[in-house]
Amino acid sequence: MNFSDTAELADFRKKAGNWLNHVLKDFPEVSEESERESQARNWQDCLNQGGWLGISWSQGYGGRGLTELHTAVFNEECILRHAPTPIGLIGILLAGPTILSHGTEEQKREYLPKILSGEDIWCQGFSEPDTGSDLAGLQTRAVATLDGWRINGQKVWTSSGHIANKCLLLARTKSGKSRHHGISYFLADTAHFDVRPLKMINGDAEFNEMFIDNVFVPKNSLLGELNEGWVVAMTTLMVERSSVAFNLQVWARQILDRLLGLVIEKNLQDDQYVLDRLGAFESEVDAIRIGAIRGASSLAAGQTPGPEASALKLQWANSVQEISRFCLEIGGPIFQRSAINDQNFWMHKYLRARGHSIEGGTNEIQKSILAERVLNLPKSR
Amino acid sequence: MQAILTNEQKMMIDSVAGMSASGVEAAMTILKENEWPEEPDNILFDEWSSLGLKDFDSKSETGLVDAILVVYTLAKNITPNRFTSHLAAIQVISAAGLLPSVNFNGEMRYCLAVDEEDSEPLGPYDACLKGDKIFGKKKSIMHGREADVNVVILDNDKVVLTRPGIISSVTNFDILNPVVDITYEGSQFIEISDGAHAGLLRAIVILAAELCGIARGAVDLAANYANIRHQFGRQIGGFQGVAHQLADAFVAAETAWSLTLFAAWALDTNLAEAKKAIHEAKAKASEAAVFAAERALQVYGGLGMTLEAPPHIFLRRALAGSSQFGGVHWHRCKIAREILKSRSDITNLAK
Ligand SMILES: Cc1cc2nc3c(=O)[nH]c(=O)nc-3n(C[C@H](O)[C@H](O)[C@H](O)COP(=O)(O)OP(=O)(O)OC[C@H]3O[C@@H](n4cnc5c(N)ncnc54)[C@H](O)[C@@H]3O)c2cc1C
Repeated sequence: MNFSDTAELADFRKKAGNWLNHVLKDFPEVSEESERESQARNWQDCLNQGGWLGISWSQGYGGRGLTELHTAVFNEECILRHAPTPIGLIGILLAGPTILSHGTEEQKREYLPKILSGEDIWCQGFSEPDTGSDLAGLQTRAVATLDGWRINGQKVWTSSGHIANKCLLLARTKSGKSRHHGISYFLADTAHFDVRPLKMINGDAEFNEMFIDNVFVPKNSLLGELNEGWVVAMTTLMVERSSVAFNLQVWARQILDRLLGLVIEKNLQDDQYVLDRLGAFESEVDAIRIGAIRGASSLAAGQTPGPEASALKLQWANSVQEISRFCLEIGGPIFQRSAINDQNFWMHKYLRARGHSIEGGTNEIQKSILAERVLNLPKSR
Repeated sequence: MQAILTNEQKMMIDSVAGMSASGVEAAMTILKENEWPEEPDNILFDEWSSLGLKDFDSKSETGLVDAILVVYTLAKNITPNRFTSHLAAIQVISAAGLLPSVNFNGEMRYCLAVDEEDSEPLGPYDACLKGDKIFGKKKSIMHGREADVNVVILDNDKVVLTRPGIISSVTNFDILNPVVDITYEGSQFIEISDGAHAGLLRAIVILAAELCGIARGAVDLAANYANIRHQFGRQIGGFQGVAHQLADAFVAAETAWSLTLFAAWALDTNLAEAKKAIHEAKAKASEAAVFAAERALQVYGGLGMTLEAPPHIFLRRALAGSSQFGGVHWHRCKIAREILKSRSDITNLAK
């Protein structure tokens, strides 16, 4: 059991920290949605030029050939410094690892470097109006043509859809009794999708609906086997829950830092109730970090990510939601002076956090996963 | 970073799990027949009585992490044992640097005398030395009746080892850890040292590990029951109202266990963060144990309200442990003050 960096990791952490201290001067925190976007683009460029993207990907595909722990360390250093998020986050976190484990050599060479350079911005086209938690019920169809497929259907809640040019797209290629068999996984171009932004309750237009009307995708856009896309989709979801854990802990840490500032600003340092909540939050957020280190360590030791990732995701969603609600609580009614389309900082955070127990699989779904796979209870879905 | 168990640690866990497989039955026997089992105490004292004392005992290669793995595994099966409280006691004397004088052949059993009427968790304490004699009244000493040596915490951060004082019985709520009150009226000390506070921090980690085991054990117990009990023609574990309660308890137990592992490691490594980590571990483990035991009771239905079913044994241990050495609120406030202080340190530094 060892939670501290190896000498090599410590060195890596130091280099990363130095580099970040140097470049982050040019990236002050911005709040306007439009500014955030251009900053996210510039930040991705900066990371890529510095060689800090795809840290665990092999060098042949533009990565650095290091481990998941290196990635984790780098992300941690970024978030401690309130660094922005790169524009191609979904590509980096989800598309890349999925293509790495299921792609052909040609697909890896084609897509991976462009994920890092930001030339391709990816989105995840899984959810549909009638298919959310029960993903296997998806109805978007892909009909084979001579040289590819024609796709018809509708996707919804697609984060980054409005800025993406590529989509991890699930579509049904065969109908039949088995719901899981017959789904295929495509690396699709979004140029001909009709993408319409949806405004979230905090005023941001972070996700979209996408109408796909007879859009052609070529043969080489199929990822994995025809009709066996479910397995590939499970990889994406697993990666989403586990590798994201390190980002999660630091996001939770950021909001907790803000709360600490608020407590001091409002002179509540001796309020027993406030101290109690702070102590509880600090423990939760530390536990997420420790859990993430335990998870990354077992990945690095060759174990496959297990259902425990669901526990981390639940913890994270709960903590961030509770912390951001508590900020509002001690802020009082003045924090509610927040326009629908221009929320103040605290309200913006709070409202966004409500989505954490929905996106990436709802809390209820995560609990069922734990009940079934860790506690061996019968299926309840 | 390699936060995983070694193969030796996995083997150790397996072997303790083997010894404690019938923990629930043994606990029920105590309840019904008031008969305390000899095993696994005898083996544990024979083989591991210096567990976790790497720095002090040249024979021991084990650290606090190893100690808590054993404690956790025993607690998971609510295995009745006096070994856990012995381990807590020797952690205190180890931190106080008293070990070389202590007998570790398994014959000597130690208990820890800390709390006094109205004392704050972690003191200060009124018990004291007058000349070379100990005076004071200690409360709720776990397995105090069976101990050969008492580890007594005095005023001014002092720890003494002494023969048992005058024992008085008290009513026991937690059948797994019978407690007594002990009065010292001029007992002679065997050894004395500073370092009580540092020792108690180690003891708290042992207790947190026990509570984590109780939490996880309660979840497993209830999950097993949920798999065999049928209602509406199906296993009750298939109802989300049941399954999700247990998933919540599992998450709480895992959270607490992560914090406790980290705290033990941080102490073993002499890390500055250790203190905060200990408060976090104890706060979360207390919360998780009570929460999980209550969930288990609920999942057992009417049976859970009877003395025949095991959930109440978990619940008793959880409640008793959660109030010892500072309750949830007390530890949370410590954590909060710690982070507020380091925040203002940083701000002052910047000025
Ligand atoms: C901010 C945000 C970003 C998102 N980004 C993306 C994206 O980029 N790409 C993408 O594909 N999707 C995205 N999603 C969609 C997300 O994955 C779905 O919203 C989620 O899976 C839930 O599906 P649903 O909205 O259809 O709700 P439903 O599945 O209809 O669920 C409604 C309620 O019923 C509960 N429920 C459903 N089934 C069960 C069951 N078996 N047992 C118990 N309770 C159940 C749910 O927990 C929920 O509370 C995003 C969502 C949000 C909020």
